[in-house]
Amino acid sequence: MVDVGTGLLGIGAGLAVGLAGLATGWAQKEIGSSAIGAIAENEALFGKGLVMLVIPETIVLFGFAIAFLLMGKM
Amino acid sequence: MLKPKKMMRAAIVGSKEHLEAAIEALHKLSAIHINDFTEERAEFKIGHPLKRAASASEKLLKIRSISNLLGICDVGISEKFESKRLFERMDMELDELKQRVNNTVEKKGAIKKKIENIDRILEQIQPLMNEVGEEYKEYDMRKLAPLLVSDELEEKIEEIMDFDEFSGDMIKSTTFIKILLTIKKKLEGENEKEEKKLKDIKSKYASFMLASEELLSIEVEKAEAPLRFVATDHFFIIDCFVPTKRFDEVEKILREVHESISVEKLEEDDEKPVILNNPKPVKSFEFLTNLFSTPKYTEVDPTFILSIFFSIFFGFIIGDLGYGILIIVLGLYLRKKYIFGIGGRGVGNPLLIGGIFACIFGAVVFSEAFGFHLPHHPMIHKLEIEGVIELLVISIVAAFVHLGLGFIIGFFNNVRRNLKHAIAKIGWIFVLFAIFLLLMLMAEGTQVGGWVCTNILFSIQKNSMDAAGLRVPIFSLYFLVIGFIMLIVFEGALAAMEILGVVGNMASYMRLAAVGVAKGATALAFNTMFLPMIVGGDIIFIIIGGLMLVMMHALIFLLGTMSAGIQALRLNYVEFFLKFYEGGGTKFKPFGYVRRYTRT
Repeated sequence: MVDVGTGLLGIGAGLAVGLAGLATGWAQKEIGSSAIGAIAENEALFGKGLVMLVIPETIVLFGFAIAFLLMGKM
Repeated sequence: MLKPKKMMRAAIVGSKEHLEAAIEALHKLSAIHINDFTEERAEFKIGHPLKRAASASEKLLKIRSISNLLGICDVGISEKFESKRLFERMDMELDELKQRVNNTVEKKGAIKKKIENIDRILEQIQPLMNEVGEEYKEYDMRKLAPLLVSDELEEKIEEIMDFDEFSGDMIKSTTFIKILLTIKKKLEGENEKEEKKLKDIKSKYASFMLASEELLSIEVEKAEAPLRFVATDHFFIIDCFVPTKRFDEVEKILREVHESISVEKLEEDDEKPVILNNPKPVKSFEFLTNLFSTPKYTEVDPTFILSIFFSIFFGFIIGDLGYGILIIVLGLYLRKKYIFGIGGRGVGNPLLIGGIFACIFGAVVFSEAFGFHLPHHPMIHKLEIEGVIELLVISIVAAFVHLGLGFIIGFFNNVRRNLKHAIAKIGWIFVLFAIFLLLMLMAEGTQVGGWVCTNILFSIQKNSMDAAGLRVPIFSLYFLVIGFIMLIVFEGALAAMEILGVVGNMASYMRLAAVGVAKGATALAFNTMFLPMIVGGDIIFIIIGGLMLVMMHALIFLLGTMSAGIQALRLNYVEFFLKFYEGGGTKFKPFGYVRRYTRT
């Protein structure tokens, strides 16, 4: 059995990645559908669409960083 | 390698009587990019298409409509048609072929319409029958039929009923349905026959059609070319771009047409069409550059740098010998073939090279294949906390090198056009270095950080002060202040706010570690779940466990390859390109045609 503090750290780490992932997905949903719409009209916009689409990914990376720092304390 | 091919603007001037021959020669050479003439001034007008344009266009229209009806698509064919004979054959066969195809298609359409009609009736009857139940089954369909059935169909039903035993006054609804189904089956048989006819025509004429279309496209392109030229009553001018190396060739071939045709070099122009100029292994990465945007003529072509970093990042994220080998195989396959419309050299070659890097990283650094450990001890253990820290430090080093290169290219892109911007890029490099130094000193305790500190940053004083709970090296502070001042002076106060953006950019490289670790962890998780089943010894469990293991690894392989590819591409597109890239250049489109099905 681990003690409560470690457990809470684990939960915190999980939440950090999980919620950040959700937020990223939420942001990407909007951008992705608009990007596909734009690409359907003009295929040359693929590159720009991809760039816009992947910008929110940084959010989940921040979540990963926090989770990682928390795990270091476990 | 880092610059597009040299290009020059030229004007070709000649007398109108040589126009056709000149077009012929230029098209064959395929070396000029015509700058379409659009302005109509009083003394200059666009030219008229050659006389043969109309008939060629008309034939092309016919061919395309037939191809469309037959569903002829691009197939590799071995025989090459000779142009002259092909023209003769077109004159002889085209009209008749069109007639035949049209007839068959019309017939098929009529049959299809009838079948749809029956389907509609059946659809309408079915709910009625369910609702009314048994009673309804005895209902006189004669009363209902005229309401549902179109004239033709009614005739047909009558016709069949004449031969039917149920030719009394009452027709049971069940019988009625039976009759409809019989008719439908018959019609479907006819439909199939017509379908087969079309297929026969298609297989017999496919190569002829493809070749004809190609020949006529060439013909039309040539015949309509004068629409893109300047023309007066007596002479023509072609405004075009020529790769500098081929200028002499163009001049020579036009001299051969007639010595009066002259080729003049025009004044320099920044907006030239672009031919990217890369050595062979890098060439296929041009696809990835163009996917973002074609570089401008005056810009640095980032393809070479992209190819290196894309491959390394991709390999680093995968970092597994087993998957690496699979990716190499996939890359080799996709070079020639397409899966779901994805494929070709532009996809296959990057995968192939990325796969090679994945093998190297997997074998040497991570000592891993399909999530299993190879016999030797890994240099970095992906799934231990110390290992992940090492990976993060490597990410920071990668970020520094990659972003730094981006700023340097940005400097060279701007130095001729806007010196202020160019100097600001140096300011950014100072800021970047300050952050890098800070992070490296923080990570001095790790293998990679220690190595960088002692071997690369050795000459820098490690004196530091405490600020905001961080150990901030004095030099880092100096660089930051210098960079900050440069940014404010050369780009304005707002740019200085974007220093946080650079921190975000560097953090973004953490994905190299994060995705790699996630992939490794998933592979390990599936291995620990299903391996005990296989080792257990029970034959059923061995089969189930084995199947699951293979399926799950296939899943990781697919998702991993996709996400590694996208992440590696993203780091290049977002973090790297946005530091310097403008894009929006025009691709060089040679006036000419690569013949696949025909020869002259």
